[in-house]
Amino acid sequence: MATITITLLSGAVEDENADFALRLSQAALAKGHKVNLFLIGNGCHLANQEVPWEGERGMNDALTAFMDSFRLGGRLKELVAQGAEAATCHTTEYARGTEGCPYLEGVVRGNVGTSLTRFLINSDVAFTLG
Amino acid sequence: MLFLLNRPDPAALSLAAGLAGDDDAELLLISDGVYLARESGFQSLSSAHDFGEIYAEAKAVADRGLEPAGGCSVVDVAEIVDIILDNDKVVNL
Repeated sequence: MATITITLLSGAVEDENADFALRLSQAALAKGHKVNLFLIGNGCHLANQEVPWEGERGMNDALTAFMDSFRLGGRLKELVAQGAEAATCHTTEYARGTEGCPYLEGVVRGNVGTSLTRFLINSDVAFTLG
Repeated sequence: MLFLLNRPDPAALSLAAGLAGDDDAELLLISDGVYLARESGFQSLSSAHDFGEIYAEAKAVADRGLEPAGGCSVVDVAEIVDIILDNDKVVNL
């Protein structure tokens, strides 16, 4: 079993990096490997619980289904439940005004100096996406 | 050493030779990078560096309806996990 660390700098919608990171992580877990995800920059937005709009959304079903394909929180939560570790960079959360927003279950507040360093020194392979 | 390229920018590959040094190098195209897997772009990859293998991520290829050049291997994420671990070092260009 190997340990892979992915430092993810992209959020869910801006490009395909986050989707790729989560699909790759799922495949690695399925092969029995360990996965660490460090969510930094816009990647930190993946860490938070969704806050649904309670009123009329103004989107038809087709548009809603299309936009749902960009929402990755459920998949990240599933990965963590399967054993992946996910930590944020709180400094980049602070810069985005999200530092106090609730996390998805299992995602933890972190930083470069401790969280990422611990991931890196315990990894067989580490790389950045974004 | 495995290089990742997520955009159709062959100029980014100019870094590969210097970073790889004497190491064997492979290239994985993801996201919009897979546009370079087409016959019209593949020459730019081959001429940029002597990559041992050039891969394109299957979902990105399928989503764009592309036909990769013959020298490019289309691989899914399960295969990519093995490729990453085989290469040991991964550099996102």
